[in-house]
Amino acid sequence: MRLFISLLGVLSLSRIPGAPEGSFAAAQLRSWLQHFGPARLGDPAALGRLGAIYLAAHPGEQQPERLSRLILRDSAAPVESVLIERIAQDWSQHDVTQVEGWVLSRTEARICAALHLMGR
Amino acid sequence: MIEDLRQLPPDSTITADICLIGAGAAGITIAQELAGSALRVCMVEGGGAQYEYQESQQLYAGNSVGVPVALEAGRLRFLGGTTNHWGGRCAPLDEQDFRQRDWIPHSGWPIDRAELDRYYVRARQVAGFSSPWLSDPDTLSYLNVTLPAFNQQWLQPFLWHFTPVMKDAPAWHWATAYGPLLQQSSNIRTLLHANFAAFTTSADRTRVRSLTVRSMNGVSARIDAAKFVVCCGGIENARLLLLAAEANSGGFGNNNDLVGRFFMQHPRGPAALIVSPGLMARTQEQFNILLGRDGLVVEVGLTLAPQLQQQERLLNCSGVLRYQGDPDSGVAVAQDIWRSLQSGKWPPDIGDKVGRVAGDFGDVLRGLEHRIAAGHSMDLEGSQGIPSRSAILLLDLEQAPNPDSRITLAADRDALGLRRVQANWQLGEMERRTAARFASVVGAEFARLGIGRCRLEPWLQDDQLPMGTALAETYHYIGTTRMADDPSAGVTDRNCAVHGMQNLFVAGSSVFPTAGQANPTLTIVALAVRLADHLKN
Repeated sequence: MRLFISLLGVLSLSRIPGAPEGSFAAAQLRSWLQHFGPARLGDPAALGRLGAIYLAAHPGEQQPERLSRLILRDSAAPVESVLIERIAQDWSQHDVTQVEGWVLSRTEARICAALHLMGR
Repeated sequence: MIEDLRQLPPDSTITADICLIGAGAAGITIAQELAGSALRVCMVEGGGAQYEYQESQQLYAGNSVGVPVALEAGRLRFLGGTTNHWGGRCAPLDEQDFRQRDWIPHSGWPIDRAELDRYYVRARQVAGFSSPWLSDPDTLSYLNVTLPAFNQQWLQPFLWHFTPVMKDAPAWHWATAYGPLLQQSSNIRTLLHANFAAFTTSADRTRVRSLTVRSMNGVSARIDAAKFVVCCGGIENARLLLLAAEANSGGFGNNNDLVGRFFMQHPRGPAALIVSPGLMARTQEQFNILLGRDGLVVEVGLTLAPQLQQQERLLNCSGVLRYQGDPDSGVAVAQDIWRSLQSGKWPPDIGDKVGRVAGDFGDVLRGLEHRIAAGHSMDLEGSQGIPSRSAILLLDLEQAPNPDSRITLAADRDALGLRRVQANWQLGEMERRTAARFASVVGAEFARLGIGRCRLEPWLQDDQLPMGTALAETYHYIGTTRMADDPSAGVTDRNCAVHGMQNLFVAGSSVFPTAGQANPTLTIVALAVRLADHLKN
């Protein structure tokens, strides 16, 4: 349940006022996750654990730079709005994956992976 | 009239135009269609008017060697047959179910949905619906339900209608509904405790001449008829044809060793847990068993869109939500108080309970309003109406026809000396793949629409886990005398006549070549009405 609430936080980003400005660089994703991740997404450790499982199944995404590019895709928009857009796009295109049975959008799973890499 | 074989003189001979073997949904439907006609009909039923284990039900015992099949519990052997534990859930098969789907071996009916449409209309009347169904959109509109905007290429809403509950009966049963007609009919002779014993045939074994029936206490009778219809359910239909083929050195539709093969059910089981941070009140008003005025009872669920089935080479599949009601919610407590008062008891801890109800007063009031508006008591919906934060996605799956999933004759014999049945029910990987895909699509769509998040059950995460422990039987026994124009591909033809036999027919879900996902009774009845027309002509 806690995980679920955390993941739903990702979905509800658009409803949170004052979304921060950010760049598409990996460093800024990292910065955003550090500063806003816990509040917006929930428990980083629980999400990171899912991220580790995702990465084990997708070893090609282990490199932080590559993972950030896969998430943000060189967008110049603020990080948070990019994440919201990407997740919505994933659902619409059914770009989903399963981690421990949870149905996650691809971007959600990659955010979890980024949290795992940050926590190592 | 309804008679008991045990009361007839020994070795009686009954002459009829049509002999119906089995008095369940199919047999009684044909009988009531023929009632009042010029045809003399004899319907034989192995059981009596009520459930009797020693006298009848024990004959349904058998062996199960594959995924377990509850051969005794899943079928009922008395007047009304298995409709005596029928839940009343009705839906027609989908158009796509009738088509030959190149990704599903052995799929395709010799008739299409359009052929059955007019019979579905009549079947609804036979099944107890007094007025025509509204279309699904009109039904939802009538119930004042607006569904979320699912991607129709992936998921589509699906509605099941429940047969109205009869007065003075716990549920709608064929025997209760049609017993008086059978009793009063001058051209339908119903014979109870009349178990199949043997067929006699013409010398070339293409024509059944007579049926011998026998009671458990040894009284026999012979029915000479022009036409015979086997209507004993999806397992017993195959057994009788196999017994007849064995006794007559072949024939009875089994020249191509097809009788009993392609045995299917609708495997049912939990596919996923749906969770929500708040109460799923809105979802519970949409996907639930919904009550309307005039006795309308409808369940709203979801099905895999035909396009997705085709694109991804999947079977048909549907799902409904079973809510895990919060027992401490005000609605649950109000229901508890109501039940206590109904049974004449003062509920314990009434002060605490009233406090809880008051705390959730908005929900309680809304639930009460809904039930009163629908003309039902507070208790009807059980946990489905209690506010919940989670639900189980419960699947009904189509199975891929598999010739190795089959009914055969066991070595041991029943009390009448006939070989018992052996079921080897098998589940395939296409079923698992369909279930996993359906749950994943539901998970994605529910997340996209903000309904909740979805976690797949372990059997859909790990292909190594056995499906047989996750999925349960639905007692929908299908496919064992499948319909096909080509005798090398089926046991019966498009008119339900047994290939190679001039006057032997089969009624029931055993003739379905594929099962779709919908409950089979309405289609059984539609095909029985159609067969009755054919027999009349």
